[in-house]
Amino acid sequence: MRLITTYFLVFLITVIQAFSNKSHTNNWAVLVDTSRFWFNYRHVANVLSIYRSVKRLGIPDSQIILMIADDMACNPRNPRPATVFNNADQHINVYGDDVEVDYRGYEVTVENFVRLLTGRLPPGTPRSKQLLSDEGSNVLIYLTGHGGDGFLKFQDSEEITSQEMADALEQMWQKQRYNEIFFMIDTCQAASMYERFYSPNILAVGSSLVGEDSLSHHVDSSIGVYIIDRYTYYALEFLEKVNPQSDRSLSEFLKVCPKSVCISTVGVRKDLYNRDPSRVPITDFFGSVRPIDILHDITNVTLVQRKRAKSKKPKAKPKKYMYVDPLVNFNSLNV
Amino acid sequence: MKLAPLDITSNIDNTITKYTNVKSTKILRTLQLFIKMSVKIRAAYTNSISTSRIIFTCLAAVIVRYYLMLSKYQTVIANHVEVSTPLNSWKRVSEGLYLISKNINPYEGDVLHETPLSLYLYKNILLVFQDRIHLAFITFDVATAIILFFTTKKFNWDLFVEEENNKETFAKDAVECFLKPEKLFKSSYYVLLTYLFNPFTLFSCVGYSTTVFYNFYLAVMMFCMVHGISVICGIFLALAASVSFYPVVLILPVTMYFKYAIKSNFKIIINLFSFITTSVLIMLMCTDFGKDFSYIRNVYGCILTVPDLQPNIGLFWYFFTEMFEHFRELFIYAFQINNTILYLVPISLRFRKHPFLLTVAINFIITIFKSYPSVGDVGFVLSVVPSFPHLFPFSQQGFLVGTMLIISTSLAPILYYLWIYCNSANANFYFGVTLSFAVAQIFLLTDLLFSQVKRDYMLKYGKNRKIDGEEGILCLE
Amino acid sequence: MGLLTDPSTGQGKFVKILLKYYVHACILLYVSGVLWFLAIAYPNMNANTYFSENALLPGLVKSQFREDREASRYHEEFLDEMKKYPDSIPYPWLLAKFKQIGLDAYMHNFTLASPFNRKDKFSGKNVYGILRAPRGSSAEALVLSTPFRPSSSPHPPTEPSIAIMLAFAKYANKEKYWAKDIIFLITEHEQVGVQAWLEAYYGVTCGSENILDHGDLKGRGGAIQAAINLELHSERIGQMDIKIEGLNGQLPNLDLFNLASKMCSKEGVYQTFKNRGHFYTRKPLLEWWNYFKNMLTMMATQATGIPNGNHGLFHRFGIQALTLEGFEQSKATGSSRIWFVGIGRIIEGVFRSLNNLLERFHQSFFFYLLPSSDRYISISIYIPSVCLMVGTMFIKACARWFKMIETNSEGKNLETSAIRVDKIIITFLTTHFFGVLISNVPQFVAQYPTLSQYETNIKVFYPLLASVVLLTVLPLFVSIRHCKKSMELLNILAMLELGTTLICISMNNFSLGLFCGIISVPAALVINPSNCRVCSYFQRFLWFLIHPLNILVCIVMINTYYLFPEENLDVILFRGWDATMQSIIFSIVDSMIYGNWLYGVITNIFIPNWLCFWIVSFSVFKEGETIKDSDKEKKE
Repeated sequence: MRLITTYFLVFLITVIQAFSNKSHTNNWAVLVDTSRFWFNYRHVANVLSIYRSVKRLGIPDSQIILMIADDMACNPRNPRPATVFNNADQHINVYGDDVEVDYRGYEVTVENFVRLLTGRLPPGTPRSKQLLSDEGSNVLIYLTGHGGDGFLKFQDSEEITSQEMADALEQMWQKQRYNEIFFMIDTCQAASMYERFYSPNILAVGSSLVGEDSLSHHVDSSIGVYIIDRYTYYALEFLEKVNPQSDRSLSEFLKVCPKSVCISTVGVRKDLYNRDPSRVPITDFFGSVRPIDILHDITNVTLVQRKRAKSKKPKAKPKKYMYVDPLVNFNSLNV
Repeated sequence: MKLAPLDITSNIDNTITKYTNVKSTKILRTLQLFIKMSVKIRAAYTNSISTSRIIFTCLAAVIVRYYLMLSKYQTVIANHVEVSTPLNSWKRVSEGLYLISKNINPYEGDVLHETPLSLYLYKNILLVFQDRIHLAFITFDVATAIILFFTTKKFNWDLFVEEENNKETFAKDAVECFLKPEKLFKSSYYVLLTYLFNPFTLFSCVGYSTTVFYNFYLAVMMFCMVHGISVICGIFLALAASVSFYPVVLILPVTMYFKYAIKSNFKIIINLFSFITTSVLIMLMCTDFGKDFSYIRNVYGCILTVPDLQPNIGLFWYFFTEMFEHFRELFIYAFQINNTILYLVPISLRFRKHPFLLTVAINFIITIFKSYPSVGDVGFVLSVVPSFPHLFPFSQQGFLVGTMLIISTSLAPILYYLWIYCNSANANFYFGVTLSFAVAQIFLLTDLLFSQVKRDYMLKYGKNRKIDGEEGILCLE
Repeated sequence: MGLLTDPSTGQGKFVKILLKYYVHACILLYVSGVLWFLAIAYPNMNANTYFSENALLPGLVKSQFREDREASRYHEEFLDEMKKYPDSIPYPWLLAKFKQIGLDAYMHNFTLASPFNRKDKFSGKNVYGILRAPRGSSAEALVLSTPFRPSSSPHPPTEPSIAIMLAFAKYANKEKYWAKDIIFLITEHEQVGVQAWLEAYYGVTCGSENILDHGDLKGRGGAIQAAINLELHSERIGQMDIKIEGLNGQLPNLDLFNLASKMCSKEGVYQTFKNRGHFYTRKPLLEWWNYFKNMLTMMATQATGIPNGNHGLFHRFGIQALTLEGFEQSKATGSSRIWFVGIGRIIEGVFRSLNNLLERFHQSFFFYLLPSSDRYISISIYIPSVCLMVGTMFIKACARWFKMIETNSEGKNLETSAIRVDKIIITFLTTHFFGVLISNVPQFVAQYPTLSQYETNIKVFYPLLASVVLLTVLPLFVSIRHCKKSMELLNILAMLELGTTLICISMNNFSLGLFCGIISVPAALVINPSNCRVCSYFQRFLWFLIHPLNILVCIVMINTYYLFPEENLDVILFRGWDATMQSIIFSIVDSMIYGNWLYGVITNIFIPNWLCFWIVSFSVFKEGETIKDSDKEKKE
């Protein structure tokens, strides 16, 4: 009898595992550039390149939250107005016609970012500014900017600490706002940002370990700025070869930038992630490829006409909930 | 009280003490003392400083001020942040008066931080002096100096009388540190000199800072306190408090003075009463009898919450520019408590026997730690220091304090220039200087207070300080 | 509370040690100050320059300047045009060119009244064009300036820089990436023109009233952040020298210097600082000596407080500025020369970096010394040398103070030597009053038109000299020199003043402060009120030597000797004397036009301070000696 039970259990687990490989139902991406000013052109280029890739792989604009702290395209110093390039040859304008920036300029703050993740946004926030994920969502979080040991600088005035970041993710988990998270960060001392994570199902990768700087890749001498960061550059090189149908795995992606080319060491944290990255297709996070079962037998379902109950509804109880004002008035933020 | 009575006075003394109250015996005792005192001492008191000399000094001071005010340096001095703060700059007063003349409430913007009562005063001064407003400043400044002169003269006399009275309770070998009448009675002249010629008060007056009037209130208050005129003392204390708020805490040392030096409970009550009544009256007048409270936010709000972070010689601006906004409230409380009541009670308890020193010390603390101090305030407290010549032999940091004051005073404008105009130094340089300026003042104050403690100890136990055969050490704990 | 708790009412332990060893301490401190100064040029003590402002993005952009033909054409045309205007600036041509290029072109008139004779007036014209930032808000501006020199000017010509400026303006006007206005400024009459233009731009007067009438500007740009002054002496440049020393010894931000230096080396021109390029040697002593020499040259220029180029006048307004001076001849053997293309590209690179700047320069150092163009010494490294020297003054003053108090309490019973504080203060103030008088002699002279017939030398220099010489007899009229304690106190006061002055000067102009310290501190240490006749004669002799005037004469004489080594001694002396006069006149003129404070500081502070010590060295007192004896000495 016990033997049977054990067999049954083993069977059950394999079944569950088989299903859990394709457990998510939708994909979201939160792409954040936290730094402003002309000399940080490369960060904007980073984030726009990732945006381009995830969009190409199938995540719709409605499910991408793009936060960009500065408007490089319109900077008067830009010799190529209204464009942002991510390569010295200037063949891809990543700031094309169909870029939807959801949070821009001074809207990119720590508070807005944390509110976005945890879903505690004020009523009336437009849908494009909300992360409407659920327990079946795979979320890609990409951050780029200037970081230090244990913090990431937002704009020039504030920073988010690794603990705050970890707490925000935990809150997301508790509110069932994700199924899995792929956390990707390209800053100096990037690894320090994910060291405090304690919520399950998070796979984190950072461009450098604690104590290391992340470096830029190359300069565009006609624009006169560093145009992209090394880690993102090699990540993009990989992503460019991926298409929605391809079966490249996540573990390949994690090895994308060896130290010889990245100069910094790419840090990976797998202990919170209960799947084997080598079996996870990259499109689980970067694309919007969902498990679809095609059903062949057709069943007709007739809608049952329901009569309206005439009996008096029990009186609705007075509401117990009320909305508490956020610490900062959002009206005043839209400067 | 423990005087060996002389032949003539002893009879009167005996008879009168039986029938009259304590007060009249006190007068009698003083009389006794006068008779008892040698001719030399009396001469030292009365002839210490000739009137002509005082007049000459004042005239010299007037000339120096007048010359500077008419020279091209006047605007330079008036524009210095060390002289003019948001609270006391004459520029702002003129602006406020102009706004009033155009029927605009001057408290609606962030221009004016003076009370309506002061404005009223300035308006009348302007009416009287027309475009010779500098004469008003000179008059008030010199008047302050003369009042301080008489204040300290009375104080020194009281000090001397008290010591003569208590001489028998002192240790035998403490003779060395007894008061020396020739030196003591000259000190009030040094007070006059210091007030008139120290660069701090000089620049404050030349720069048209309204601290001149504030100093005048304080001087009158101290004068009345020393002379026991409790009604006027309360009135001027209320005036000073209405201008800069901090002098409110001076009510404690003033009360102490009436209690321990004048020994009259009645005067305490009168003083308190007049202080409170005047304060309420001022409040009523300023608010136009309860109609307009806008000045409170602009005057006391500005003093207490420090919204204007223009650099000055104080310690507030740097901390509050560097601080994160959410800590601001906490530190406002911390700083203001530090300024007003933190030291008030302990120092008052320790120096209750020396209420004049206590008054000066509390005023000193206010000056060091207030939110918008200017050199005028510093000059005022510094100029009272010479009235304690009996403490100088005990002081230790005189040289250090002097050097620090000289260096920081001369470096401050230079570093300000380099920071603001040349763009090459930065705020830290200037703050370093103001910090050392404050430290110098704190050293001076602690040195002064500690000297008093040491002197008291010496008077009581004598020069010998052996504890179990070892040389003892006096420590501040 | 260790500092506030004193062990006894008498002298503490610290004071005892101080009194015992203060002479040793003073000597030690002074020597270590000098040694420290010598050591800062040693490579281990200083560091390589680096960019601390990352917004500059220096040299990232590819240079695209190709207007060299334009530049050559402008050059030829301009040379032709100059022939029509032998003595003044050919402004119609320049205005026309600016307009043709497409800039807002303006002219600026200014008038200078002679400081000693207000009726003599000179006028001049500046021409400037403003390139408006095409997509920016015109809130900030950069300046490219160049002095115009007529062919009669004694200075080397600068026409090529005007040509390249026009060519660069033409090139820049076509580009769309400027976020700041660029002001192209051509000034006349060397520094006066720049000063007048700046005063007009900011609407202030820096020097004395009614001397420089700065006129008015018709067009303005944004707040000026940086300025580059060009002085090219040839079309082909073999050596580019960067000059930074400004008015009153102010220096531009080190980042700007680094930027210019980097751009020059990027274009491959031999780039120098103080006419010295890089040198590579493995001998540490030789390396130190090279660095030290170079640093000393820089400090000598800085100490005078006179700007060594038009850039120096920008500094006071918080504008970072430097001069690029190009020579045809290169000191380096085999180095290549660059033509207009290269120069244009240097300017382009510098301006595009400045264009990237987001805030005003604030990251890097403002207080530094340069031993070579790629190494710097920051304030934290060099300031200890002056602090150590000044420290000796305070230590000695402190020790003397305690000594005085000590003897005071010992001799209490005698009550003989009362310190006359009032008289000391009066003496102290009198000396300073005389100082103020001396500093006002030139103003005084200028106000009297009856004196205008005389030469400037006669009517300014000789009264000055006479008053200074007259003042040296002042000690004879000081009655307190018979009182030892009073002299002691005066000595202490003078030492404190000297110390404070040196600190204050070093904050503004480190080089001047240091040189003054090196000279005056040891002499001031020697001076004590003493009754030993030999000692006091020695003191007087020594102190007389370091009178500011004597030092000036010495410096000028030595300088003359090095300039004209072949001349006879008497000729050198004569020339030196003449040059001394000239230098004093110039420093007065500088203070009146530009607000140079060297003359004011010397007359208002150093001479009175010198007098105080001088009085101290004349102290005569002897126990039991009566006033009659000292009267005798007066007669001697």
